[in-house]
Amino acid sequence: MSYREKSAWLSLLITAYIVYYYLSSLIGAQQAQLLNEALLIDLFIDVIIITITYEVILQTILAIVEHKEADKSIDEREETFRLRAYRNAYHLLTAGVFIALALLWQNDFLGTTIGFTQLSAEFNTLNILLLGFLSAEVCFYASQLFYFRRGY
Amino acid sequence: MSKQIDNHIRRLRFEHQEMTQQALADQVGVSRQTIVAIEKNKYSPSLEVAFKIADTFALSIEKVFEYK
Repeated sequence: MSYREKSAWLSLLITAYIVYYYLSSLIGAQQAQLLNEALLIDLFIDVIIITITYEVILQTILAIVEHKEADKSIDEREETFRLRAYRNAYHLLTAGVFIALALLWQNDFLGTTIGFTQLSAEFNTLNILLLGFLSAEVCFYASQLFYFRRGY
Repeated sequence: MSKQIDNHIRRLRFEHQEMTQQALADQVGVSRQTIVAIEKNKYSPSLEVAFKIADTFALSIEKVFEYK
């Protein structure tokens, strides 16, 4: 397994953990009737801090362990995989943005809110955007791993 | 049947003191996995990489790659 593939596995696991952490915190807070906008902002900040911390620490450890391969620049085949993975992730990100826009439109024109009733339409939109972004990240790393495993 | 790009890299490595895939990858500047994929005809390299591979074996590109 190449260094790039190991790095993609690491990022996928970190992102999957972040999705689990975010959703479990959100659903837990809702069930305990503690969900509010301040808590959601705290959760956003937690997600950003945890992502950066885990990525920096674990990717640094991997780069130290695999220092010979880590020093090499990405080659053309790996770059192709990365570009294909970006394309796949872009579709999910776009879907997330369209869903968020549809929710805003529905709230403005129909006056109904889909999502967490404790949150305003803006925060429900923010929630959808973050979920869309996280889904796109998972898709990005999973796509790369698919191409790495397939070999072309 | 449509034509495909084929190559003789495996044989050429053997004829060059059994050069390893890693050694070839290091000379060309790609990963070992990329050399594996090229050898198996799963990945068609760019012209630049194809020329670098041919140059490593001191051959012209058509002696390494074929379109048949």
